[in-house]
Amino acid sequence: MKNRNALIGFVIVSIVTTLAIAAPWIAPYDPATTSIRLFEGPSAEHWLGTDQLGRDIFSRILFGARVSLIIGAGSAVVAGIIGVPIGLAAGYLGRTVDMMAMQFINLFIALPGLVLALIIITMTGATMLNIVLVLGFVAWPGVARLARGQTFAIRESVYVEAARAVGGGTAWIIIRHIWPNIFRLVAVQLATVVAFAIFTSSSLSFLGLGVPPPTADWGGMVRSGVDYLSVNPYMSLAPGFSVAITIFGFYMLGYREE
Amino acid sequence: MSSEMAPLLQVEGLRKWFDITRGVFGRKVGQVKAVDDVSFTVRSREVLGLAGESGSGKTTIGRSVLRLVEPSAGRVVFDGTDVTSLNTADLRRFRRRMQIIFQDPLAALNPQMTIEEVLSEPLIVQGIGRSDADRRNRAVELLDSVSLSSDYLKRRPGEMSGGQRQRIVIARALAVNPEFIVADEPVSALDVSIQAQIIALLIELKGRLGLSMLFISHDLAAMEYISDRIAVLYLGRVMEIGPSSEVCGNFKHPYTEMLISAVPQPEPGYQRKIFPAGEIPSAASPPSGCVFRTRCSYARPECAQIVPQLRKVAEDHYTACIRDDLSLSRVLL
Repeated sequence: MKNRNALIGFVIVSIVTTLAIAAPWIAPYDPATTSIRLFEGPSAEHWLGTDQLGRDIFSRILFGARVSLIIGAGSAVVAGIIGVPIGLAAGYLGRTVDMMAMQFINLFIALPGLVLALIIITMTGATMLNIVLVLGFVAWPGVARLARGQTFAIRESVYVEAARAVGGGTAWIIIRHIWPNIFRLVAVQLATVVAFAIFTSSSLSFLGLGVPPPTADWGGMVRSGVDYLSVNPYMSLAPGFSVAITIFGFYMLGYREE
Repeated sequence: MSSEMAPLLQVEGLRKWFDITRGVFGRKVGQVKAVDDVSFTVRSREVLGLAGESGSGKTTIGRSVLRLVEPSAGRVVFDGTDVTSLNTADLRRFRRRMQIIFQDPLAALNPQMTIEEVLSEPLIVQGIGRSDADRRNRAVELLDSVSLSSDYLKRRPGEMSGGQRQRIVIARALAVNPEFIVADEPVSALDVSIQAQIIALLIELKGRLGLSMLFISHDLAAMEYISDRIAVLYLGRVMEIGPSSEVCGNFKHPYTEMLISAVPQPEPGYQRKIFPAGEIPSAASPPSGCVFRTRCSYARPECAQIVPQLRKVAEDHYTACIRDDLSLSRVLL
């Protein structure tokens, strides 16, 4: 059951990633080139129609995948870089370090991610780098909590005691025994961070706080299409569906029995 | 073995009390006296058995001797060095001299690591061997010393039987050439048919490498076989200590009588003594006076008043019972 979920996720993520990488070669048009053929529905020339500036929606979807994946992966990397060391330290050192880390983590988890991201982005300005940093910053507590819990369990294992008995220090035990045993679960958790980041960055774009134009970005595309829903619904539907299927893929990849 | 010789390991007044805490702020509400004022010695090339039921503190004593748990009080002196006062760096160096064999070999081996990695770990941590090739040679040597072939280097613990895994755990303990080994119930998790093989291996290694050992077990039959002396523990205290033959054949403590009588005997017509059923009391609220009195058939009112000290009953043989008028026996007379 679990494997089938992961397989579905893997297939979707692979397809999206391949399309994103291959975008410059497979996209029929330049995503930023305008034309006089505005608001066209799907046709043989324009598979998903054109937008209010006559740009090819299908090409913009393909290039938009790059933005989404870069933001998603970047945020996961940032969340991992902050969350994993804190989780390992809290779980392995325990006591005061753990208590302080957990209070901090719980505080962050209690705050709604989108609102927090919204506030910080408003203050710092919407650039791709800022969005990645902010979303990673919002998502790290979940990663830290998972790493902490797993570390805690393995710290108590007899083989860690055996490593201490032969003289293994804290760094040795974390690198050699704990990290290899929690790595997979952390990776799975990071897949859900990717999904969260794509979802939240699209939401930010929809609110006008996303990657600035003319970069093709799914959330921004949905937003500009909203004004023309009655004229050409594909302007919003196509990027909206892309966001949905990509998030679904990453969540499936990161699905785990609780 | 002369008793005048300075012992290799000397444990004096060892205590390990665990705090019972409650609430977010860890308010202390009580203490578990897992080990309470335990003293014993292990001589060079000697095997001392630590016998007792679960909850008697025997495992905690083994861990405290190696400082895998920090003792609350007392001293552990190994070959003149006080282990309890070593700093981190000195303790790491010291771990070359004392090692441990665990009860459950599956739990004691990291499932992700190959046997080569398992056996190389002590060498890397202790800075033994200059290259991977050096360490591989040493690993093959270690496998050979526990009668396993070098084919096992690439295997993982999951691909081996319980007995083979325990051989790996033993080989890992031997990797740093220790003089002293704590064997914490080394055969209790294994099939009965494998137990004898592992005991035989330990005896062979002890003779060949001149090891001293603290052999922890609840199985008195195996212990009598491998140990030179035996200490019987109950609720974190030593009840009786002496040469194996004395403790198993001429025991002077009612608790030892109870333990010995529980060992099945292969004699026809043998009738074992029946003891009142009962559980070991909680170490958080041990009985006053003699901790064993609540289960003792020979207890008297004064047993609740006095904490009995070890008294000499024969050469090298001590018991912590105030009654010297008992004639104890494993069989029903």
